[in-house]
Order: sequence, then structure tokens, then C-alpha cells
Amino acid sequence: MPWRLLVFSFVLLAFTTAIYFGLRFGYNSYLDTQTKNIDKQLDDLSHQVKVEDQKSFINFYSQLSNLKRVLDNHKSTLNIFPFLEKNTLSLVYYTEASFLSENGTLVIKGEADSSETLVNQMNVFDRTPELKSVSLDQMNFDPRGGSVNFGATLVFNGEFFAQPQR
Amino acid sequence: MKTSTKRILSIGFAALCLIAAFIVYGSLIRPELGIVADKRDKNASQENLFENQKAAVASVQQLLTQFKSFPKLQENVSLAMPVGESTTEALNQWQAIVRTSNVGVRSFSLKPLALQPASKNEPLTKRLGILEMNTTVDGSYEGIKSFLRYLETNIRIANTKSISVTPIIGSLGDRYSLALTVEMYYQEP
Repeated sequence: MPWRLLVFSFVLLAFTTAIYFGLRFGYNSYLDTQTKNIDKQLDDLSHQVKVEDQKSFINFYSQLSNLKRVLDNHKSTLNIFPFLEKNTLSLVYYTEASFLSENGTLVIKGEADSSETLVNQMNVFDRTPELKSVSLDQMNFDPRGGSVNFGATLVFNGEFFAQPQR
Repeated sequence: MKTSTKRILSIGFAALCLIAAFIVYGSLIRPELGIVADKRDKNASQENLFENQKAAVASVQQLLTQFKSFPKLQENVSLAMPVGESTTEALNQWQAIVRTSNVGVRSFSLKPLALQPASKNEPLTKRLGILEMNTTVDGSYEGIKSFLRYLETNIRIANTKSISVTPIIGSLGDRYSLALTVEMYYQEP
């Protein structure tokens, strides 16, 4: 009986020792080799796309991204011309116009044949949905002809410049 | 040797072997199991990374193939958003617009402004540069309108910052002077 116990204990010790060496020098080395293989595969993968191709593609992507950014803020300021053509009375003409894109403000100077025409012109501007606000900055009567010189500030809605108009 | 002595020795050796087996398990096998588990986790995550990168590289290669098959698109994008200031190109385009819209040039200046800060959300996007063009042209009403139209619909994107229109006094027929400040864009090289 004690012999059997001794053999069992010895076998158990041999078994645990074998497991330890198996883990230490067998499975561990296998895992190390596997890690090296994956690292090598990852390294190979990084060389599959040429550096020049990467640079060229990133550059193109950047150009598209910048183009989108610029186009998103693109304004068709030419729209002012058809707007004035459509919304100006026949007895009114302009002598000067200056526009600032930043705040969408158009400052105009012009002449109307009478104060009544000027009032009608301001009414036309007041009714147009394209304008956020209209203000008459100045008006001077010409004592000889009865005409009126005026200056006005028109502030356009932001959307007005989004699409080119015909 | 007496049978009883042999028995005691056997029991003693058996006990020693058992203790040694427990020591091997506790102090050698268990730590080694921990190391093995760490390495297996690392390998699994590396394999996962490899599979993801493989898929990403395949997508990039497909994109590159598509990208290379449209050289005209690249050319057009480069005309709209050139890499570098390309002032000569801008000048040529401006001159063509002047000629087409039949206006006369009074003044022209082109100066680069500071590069715009890069977007934090898009780390791959390079900085945007601005060329500010100040020009004054004169011509008929239709002429200055055409000039502005061609400038705003030109392939190189231009945003008008300010416009000033004044009639030219003393000219034959209705002639106007158009003063413009326009921003043209480029990408830093």
C-alpha cells in the first residue's frame, strides 16, 4: 500500500514538472513565434500601400475637403444686379452702389424724379422678401428740377446669395 | 531493513513527492499560466488588429484604384483648389475673363493672406490659403455684369468680398467702373 502511494506521488510530481516544462518551453515559445508572425504580417501590410500613393491620396482628400469648405461659403453676389433690375421703378436710377459681402449690405445712391417716386421705391424694397432691412439714409431735393437725390442701405438675407439667380 | 522502516520511508518519500508536486504547481505552473494567458490575449488582439488593418488596406487599395482611374477629376479638383498659390494660373484666368467680358482694366493687385488655421475635426486636411485680389475694371453695364459672372463661376473658386459700382462721368454711352475685392483659395503644399 505505501508503495502504491509512493508511485502515485512520484507520477504526480513527474506530471506537474512535465506540465511546467511544456508550458515554459513549448506553449510559451509557440505563442512567442505566433506574436512575431503577426508583427511581421502587420509590418508587411503597412508596406502594401506605397508612401507616394498615400501622400497623393491624402492630398486629394484634403483638396476635396477644402473645396467643400469653400463652396459651403460661396456666395453669388451677382444676384444683386437682377434684384435691382427687377425691383427698381422706371423713374429711379442709381449713381453708385457698394456692397459688402461680410454683412450682406448694399449701400446705394441714386436719383428719383420726385419724392413720391422715392417713397414708392422704398415701398417696393420694403415688400421684397430678399431683404432683411431697408433704410433711407439721406434725401436731398433739387430745387431746380424737383428731383430727389437719395442714399439707402439694403441688407440682404443670407440665403439670397446661396444660389445664382438669372 | 525492517518492513516497518521501509513503510515509513515510503510514506515519507510519498509525502515529499506530493509536497514537491504542490510546490511546482503553486510557484511555477500558476505564474506561467498567467504569462501564457497574457500572451494569448495579446495575440488575439494583434490578430484582430491585423484583420481590421487588412480590411482597411483592401479598402484603401480599392479607393486608390478608383482614384487613379479618374485623372480628369484630379485635374479639375486641382484647378478649383490648387496646391500652392498658383498665382500665374490665377492671372491667366483673370485675363481670360477680362477678355471674354470685354471690359478694360484700371488696376489689379494680388496678395497672399495668412493661411487659415487647420480644422481640428479633420486632421488630414491641410491648411487653406487665400489670395486676395483687388481689381477695378470698366465697361458697359452688361460687360461688368459678365465680368462678375465669369469670375464667380470660374473653375477656381472665388468669393467676392466687396463690390463698388460707379458710373464713369464724361464717357461716351453708359460706362461703369467696377471695383472688386475677391478671395481666391489654394491649399498649402
